[in-house]
Amino acid sequence: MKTIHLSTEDGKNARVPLLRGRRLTPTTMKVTALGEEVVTKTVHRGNAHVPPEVLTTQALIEGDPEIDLANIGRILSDSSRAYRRPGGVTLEGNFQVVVTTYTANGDVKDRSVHTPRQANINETAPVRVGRRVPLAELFQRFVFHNQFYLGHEDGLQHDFLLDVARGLEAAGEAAMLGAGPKGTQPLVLTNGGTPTRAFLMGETAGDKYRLLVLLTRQELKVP
Amino acid sequence: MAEKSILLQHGDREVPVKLGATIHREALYGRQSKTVEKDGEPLQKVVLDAEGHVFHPSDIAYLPTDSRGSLAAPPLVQTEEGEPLEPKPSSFKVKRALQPVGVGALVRLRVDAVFPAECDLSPGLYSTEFAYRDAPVLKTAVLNVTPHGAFLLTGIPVETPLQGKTDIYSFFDEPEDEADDDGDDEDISFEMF
Repeated sequence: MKTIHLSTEDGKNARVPLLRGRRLTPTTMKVTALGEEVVTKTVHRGNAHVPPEVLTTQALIEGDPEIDLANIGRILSDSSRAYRRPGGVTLEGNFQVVVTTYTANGDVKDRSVHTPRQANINETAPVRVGRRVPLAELFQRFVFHNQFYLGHEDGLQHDFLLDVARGLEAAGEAAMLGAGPKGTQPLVLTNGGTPTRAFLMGETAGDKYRLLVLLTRQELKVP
Repeated sequence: MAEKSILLQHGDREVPVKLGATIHREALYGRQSKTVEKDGEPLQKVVLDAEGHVFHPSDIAYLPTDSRGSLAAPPLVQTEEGEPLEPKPSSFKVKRALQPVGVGALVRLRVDAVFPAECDLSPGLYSTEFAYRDAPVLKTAVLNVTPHGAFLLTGIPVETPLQGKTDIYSFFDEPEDEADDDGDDEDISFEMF
């Protein structure tokens, strides 16, 4: 379970559970004709990687130079990723991961050493409830690829979140959520995760509330 | 723009909808790629097995098998409860129902694809089921007709409960979504903001 440190416009703040919605589609699995669960095995294809000039007609008649007979069919059950220089034999360590950013036109915009992002939703500086967007506009402007909802662990949190939900519902608006000291940065939910913009949407029924955190990384428009 | 058409039944009226190619985020904001480098020279990724053998990634195949290692092709699909699921035809082959819905349908949709659409419908939200190819489970789709264009959004519906004072959470119902945890495209600019 994730926890989000949330602050409202009037300065109230609380650390509350950030929960994932339940999928309404059935979870599927692949089975054999006998009903046995299908497992995926990692297998060597047997490509010998010989240069084309070696694959003469005579060589193919006399043997199987294109097949790596020592490894074909080998089941790789415990493999890991490694790196070597192109054409090299030894594996390399102490390398850098470099991230190249391209514009939508394909031009290189930036190159930098990769540094994994840290989650920023439960820091000393809370995630702030920011700019409001009318609901009618929200769903005409953004695509939401995921939803979480806020929960509470005690009565004080319940009352706090109920107030937030009532405020948003009464205004017919959603509020943008921002992380960082100024509350303007996109949210990163997990360490190493992807930054994403988020909106908070509220709904109430009596003393029950629903506060949805809608995640978006894309506007509703054509390129 | 439009490449393929689907046919939807809206009340007693047939509505053809032309769909363009999926709108990927990369086409709007750019993309990122990661390379592994040493001394300024890009390195080649290889696969190292437990016995110390090194293979090129193109040497590796992923095969569906049964527990004894025999090929299981073509695998059948069933629910976790054991109910078999027959493939349902693609939306390009059959006509499916379309009905107007409220904004709640979009709020509950975990969108995984967006298609530009052309259709003769008044602005609003309409719901249908969609499968690009024959599939055992249809996706939920919302046709969002806005003043600046129409879009078909497909995805998975999710349920988020109202929270009363004494609700107990099902913390373990949903596994973590890898899409939130991968770092492959972080640092993409958020030009929309």
